[in-house]
Amino acid sequence: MLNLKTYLKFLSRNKLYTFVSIVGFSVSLMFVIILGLYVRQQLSVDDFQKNRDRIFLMTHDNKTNFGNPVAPYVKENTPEVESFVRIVSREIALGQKGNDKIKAKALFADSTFFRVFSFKLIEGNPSQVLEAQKSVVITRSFAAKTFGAENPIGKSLFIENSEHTITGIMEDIPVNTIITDADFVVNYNSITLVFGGNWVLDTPSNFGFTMFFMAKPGTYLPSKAPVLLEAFKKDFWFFSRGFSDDLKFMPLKEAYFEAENYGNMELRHNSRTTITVYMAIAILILVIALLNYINLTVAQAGFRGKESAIKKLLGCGKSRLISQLLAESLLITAVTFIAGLLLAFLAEPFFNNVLNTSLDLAYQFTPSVIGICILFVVIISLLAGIIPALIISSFNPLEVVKGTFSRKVKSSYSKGLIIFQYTVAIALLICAIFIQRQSRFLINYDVGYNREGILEINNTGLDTTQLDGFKAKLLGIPGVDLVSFSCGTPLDGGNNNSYDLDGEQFSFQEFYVDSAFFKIYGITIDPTGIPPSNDTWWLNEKGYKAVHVDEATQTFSVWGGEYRAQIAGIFNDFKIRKLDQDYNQLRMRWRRNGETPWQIIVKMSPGSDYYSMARRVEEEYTQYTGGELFEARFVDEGIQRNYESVQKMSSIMSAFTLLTIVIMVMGVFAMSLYLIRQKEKEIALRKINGATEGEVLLLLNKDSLKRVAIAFVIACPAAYYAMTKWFENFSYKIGLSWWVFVLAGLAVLFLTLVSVSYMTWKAARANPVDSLKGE
Amino acid sequence: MIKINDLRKVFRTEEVETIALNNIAMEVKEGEFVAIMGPSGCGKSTLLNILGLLDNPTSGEYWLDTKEVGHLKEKERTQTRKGKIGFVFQSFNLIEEMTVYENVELPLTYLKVKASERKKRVEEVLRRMNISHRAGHFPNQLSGGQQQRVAIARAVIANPKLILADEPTGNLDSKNGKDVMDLLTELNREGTTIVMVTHSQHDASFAHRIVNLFDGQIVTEVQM
Repeated sequence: MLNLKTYLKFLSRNKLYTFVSIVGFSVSLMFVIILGLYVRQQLSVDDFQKNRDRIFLMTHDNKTNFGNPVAPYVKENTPEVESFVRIVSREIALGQKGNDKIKAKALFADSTFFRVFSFKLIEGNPSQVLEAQKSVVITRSFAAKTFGAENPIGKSLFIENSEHTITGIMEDIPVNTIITDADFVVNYNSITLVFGGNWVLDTPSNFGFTMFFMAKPGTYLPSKAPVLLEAFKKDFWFFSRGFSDDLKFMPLKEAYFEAENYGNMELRHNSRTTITVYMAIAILILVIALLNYINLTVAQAGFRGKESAIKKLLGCGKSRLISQLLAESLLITAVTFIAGLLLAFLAEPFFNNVLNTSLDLAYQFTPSVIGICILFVVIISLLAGIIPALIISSFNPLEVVKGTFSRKVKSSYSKGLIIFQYTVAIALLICAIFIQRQSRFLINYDVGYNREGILEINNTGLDTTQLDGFKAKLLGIPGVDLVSFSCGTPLDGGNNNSYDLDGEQFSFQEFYVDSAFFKIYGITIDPTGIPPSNDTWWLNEKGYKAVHVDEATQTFSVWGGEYRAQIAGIFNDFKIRKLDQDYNQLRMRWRRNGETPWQIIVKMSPGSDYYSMARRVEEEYTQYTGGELFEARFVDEGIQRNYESVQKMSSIMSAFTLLTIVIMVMGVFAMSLYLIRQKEKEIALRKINGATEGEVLLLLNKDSLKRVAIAFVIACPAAYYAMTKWFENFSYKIGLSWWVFVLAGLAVLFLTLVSVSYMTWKAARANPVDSLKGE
Repeated sequence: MIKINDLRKVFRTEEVETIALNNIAMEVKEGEFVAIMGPSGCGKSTLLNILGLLDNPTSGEYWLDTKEVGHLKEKERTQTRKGKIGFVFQSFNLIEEMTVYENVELPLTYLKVKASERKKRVEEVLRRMNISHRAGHFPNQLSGGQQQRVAIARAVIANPKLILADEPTGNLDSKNGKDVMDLLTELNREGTTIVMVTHSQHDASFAHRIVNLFDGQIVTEVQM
């Protein structure tokens, strides 16, 4: 007790040291705690599924998934398959026809869902609850929100205007699963309501459906894939024509990290690289924080060294001293850990947002995690404490007796640690700047079409007879310039049409548009001379080059070469969806009279209040459709959302870089305090011998300059390498401009000089007599 | 109590070799009060460090009581020193972060004396040194004389048989210096052996015997 009291006294007397140590350490630990729990959460995704080793996601390399009949086909032809679950996740409109709708997240799943996956049912039997047509299982929170205290079982839910019956209640879908969050799970056959017909269940060539298979115990499904692939080649044209030559059963645990690469948009996913990056960041933060603490503690070891030398003189053994110092380290680590934990709770919303998750810190603290935390604190306190303890305890009592006790500590490796901090700071700053610039570059890239003041509304309720009337209504709103009805927009990407022609595979993204569409998006046509009609196409430049156009007739083959269509004109290669997904061939034609548009596009006058106009449009829409859901987005915001992951990466990197720099600045400031105190005598002697304040200042700052320069030389290649790797993920990217490197170096140098200068300036101005009198 | 024979201490650096103590022989009897005098650099402090088991001689013998202690390892020196030797310094060397009470108590904690016993003994010695009223203060709140009294209290708390004092009055004015010398004389009268290094003829006059060192050798010994 006595010893900890002494230590507390020491801390309260060295407030700067204490402040810098505790604040720097606890903010870092906050990062480490959050990132650590995040990584843990991500790596433990679907661990709670009892059948996790038997569940596989079926994929192939064309990123298009499968048609619905494929699932029963696989089960029939593969004795190892016990059952399958197909999944469709959609935002749907909830409510009776003619009433105002609310938006809800629906998960359509086969009746096997609750037998294959281990989602807990509060009410209902897992093997029966989804059996009936139009049955629906609602989550606990949706039940509470919608029905309050009433028992919802047996009640009706109108999904896409069709009555469903609630047969069960389930716990909310947790974040640590590949299955996306939903308000309720609906019997799979109800997807016919979303897609508008039974054909969606019966057509093998209508792709895009996600399917899981559960193997019988003791069998190994992935080994059956080659046999199945051969069968597919016989029975499904997509495989027989060679669009895909691959079939895979992907284990559930792997699917979370891999499925995205196979086009499974229905599922939650994460990338291993991201997890690795965050893990690396957490470790790096920990190392920096530890080094900073060690550095500071060593730097002022001289002050504690006297105490330790006297104790040794009075008969205290070295091992006892070391254990005391380690106990102190444990104390400060425990305090900072608790502070870090509190900060983590405060910062949780920010991280939930940038990490796209719900960390639920309070919920994560199970006994085993608490155990890990305690172990972590002990290990960290050992790592942080052992070097200072060895240095402090090795002071020779003889020096005390001699009265020549010097407060100097060999600072050669302290300097090394400082250089390391500078290096990390510079490298991170370089990376953070590049990532941020890349994120802006992607968002602001000239996609080849207009993006400002354009509202895209999903058509959830207008039929073709209502279009003209609705258009007139919208054009009546002051500030609405143009209204277009289309199937597909650049942001949404239109429909895909794949076929082969002369042995080559073509994949067109196609749009059915009206004349306002061209004006709104600023897409210009270079006419071929063929007058546009319902049967002619406009092709983009790349598409025009690819399709073997017959120059004389301006025709090209469509649909397997069985027909030829005329080309009315050529338009520029604008970029659809995201930049890094390259879609080469685009084509457009008039939307025909009977075709229900997918989108309603509203162009507003530049400079008008877009948001209040969007509300006006919404009112009109809701009224006109009798309460259908209004789902809309502005094109520029949609583009931004496409690069959300890069933006979030940029936010994390910026926060982390800021943290590193703050620790660095605090560390350098505190270090300068101690290093300069050790130099007081030298400064005094130099001044007595005629050095001016300016010369002393230069002398003291020269060291910092040198260290930053060394750090710069190490940091540049490291950052260059890391960024080259990172940029490999992008097909559209900025260059690695040299000035970013220089800027980062100068920034760190500037911050260093600012943080050091207060102390050096004070030291340089001090009266030399005071320093010499002191000893 | 102390017997040294042929004691040499040589400091070597790469270029120079300094002989700090050159074949010294000396004896201090139990209950004696010996002052060591001599000009700066004559080896006084080196001798005191060796006597205090803070340093080993290069060669020669050092018998403390009945044990040869001249070539012990650091750990053994600490063990031997504990409770047996008390130190008083010119610059007091109190621990700044500890109160007067805690500073004085410290040697007892290393001797594993029970808390209740420690309390009794610390209070007693503080009373005796006439600084009980300062028990809760920190060293930097005390005058030099008070700090040295605390240091002496700390030196005697474990009832050591030997007190080594290095210029104990060096940082004090004459009034406080006299108090300190009176204290040391009193301790000596009660049976504690004292070896004191000093520059001051006046302080030395309190001793039974003055040993004069010059260039690492004993030049004269004067019995008072």
